[in-house]
Amino acid sequence: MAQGLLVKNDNGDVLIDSEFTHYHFLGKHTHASVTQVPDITGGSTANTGGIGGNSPDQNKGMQNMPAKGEIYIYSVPVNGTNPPLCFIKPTSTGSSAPFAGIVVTKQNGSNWEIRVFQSAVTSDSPVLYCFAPLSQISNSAASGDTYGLQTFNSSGAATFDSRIKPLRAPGGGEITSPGLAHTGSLGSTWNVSLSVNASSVSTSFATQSDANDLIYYCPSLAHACQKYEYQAADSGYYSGDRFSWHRSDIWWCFYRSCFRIASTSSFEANYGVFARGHFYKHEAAEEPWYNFQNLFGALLGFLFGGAVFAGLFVAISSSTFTNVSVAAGNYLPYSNSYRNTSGNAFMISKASFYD
Amino acid sequence: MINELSVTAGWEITNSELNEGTYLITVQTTSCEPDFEEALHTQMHNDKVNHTHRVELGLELLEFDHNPTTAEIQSVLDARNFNPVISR
Repeated sequence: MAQGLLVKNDNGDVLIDSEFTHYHFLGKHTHASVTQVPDITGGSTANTGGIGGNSPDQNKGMQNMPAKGEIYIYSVPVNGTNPPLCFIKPTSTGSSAPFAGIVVTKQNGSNWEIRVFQSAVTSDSPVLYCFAPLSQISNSAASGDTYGLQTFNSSGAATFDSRIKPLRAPGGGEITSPGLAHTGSLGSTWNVSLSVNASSVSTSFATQSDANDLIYYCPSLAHACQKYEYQAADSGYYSGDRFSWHRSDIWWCFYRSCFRIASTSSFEANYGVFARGHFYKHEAAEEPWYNFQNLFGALLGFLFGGAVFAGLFVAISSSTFTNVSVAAGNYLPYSNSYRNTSGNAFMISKASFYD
Repeated sequence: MINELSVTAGWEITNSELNEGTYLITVQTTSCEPDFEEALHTQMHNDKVNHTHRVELGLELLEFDHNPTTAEIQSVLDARNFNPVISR
């Protein structure tokens, strides 16, 4: 540059560049509301009452499904079009702390709506420490100090002001999220097993003095979606009557990556259950042998259908039973896989810099 | 012929994906009670003898660091106690 200020440390990292619009402390924000993604559930049962031959009625709700995390919603006033950079002050730190990450950043009028997903429900709530380019911060935020350092770019716009608490990041790096959120068997018969059991991925950052003072910026980029399906059918004779029943279920969880401060030098990534669902279809017929042909024929032609199941279930009859598959449908973006697990940048700062 | 469920037990791959170096194999398993011999089955129906033809389909997700062989998939399913035969 022809003129201006460029400050570097011993490693050559740029600390202040008068041509760059530095981020400064915008404010500390508590959530305005908290929510969870509603469960997506449904099912139908027909003619199964009193059916002999072990027609199954168990677990037609959300039994055995893992608990969902919760979503904290913040409204951050930012005078400009650039989104705020929001650091999370977690509810706790350490190897038992819940994981949290930003899942939504969107403009809402003159404010920005930030949503933080936390893997477990807690009595305390995460707090956001937000930063914005200096051009989007009111001058009234400046301290009354009559000394300090202020830089301007070649257009004369202020780009750094030491009186408005510039963002300081003493640590940072890149973290990879686990692949699958649940490894191993997905379930057994009507008992689903989709809880997060992946090992946390850990990465280190420059050692700090107090883990409980640390705040972090790390948006949730990775997600995983896993499903479990189980179907059973039976037919034959029971107490002199012919019977037939068929039940088909699909359970799924959609997981989002989230993070925690594990120690004064360790940052961890894992998943939380962001959304979940369960659908089933259960039909049966039982008739004395002399009436059975009609009902049995109808059941053989039984199709999973209707708006709810459109796309979720394919046609099922006895002749196609072995080819049954459950499509991702309208609810699952994909199944039994994961996306965006690598290259998630993070920054560490300290709440005490700004409190 | 008696019109009841009759399927072939075993497993089949329903989805295979290579994701960031990991092979994600989704397998549908099928287990069933053995068929009766046809003449015996006919007689059981004629006599309205209690009997069943149970069929179960499950889903397993397997992870490998390489493209697995059939034997390797079978080995994991065995470890997860998959049994194609439902005993009466």
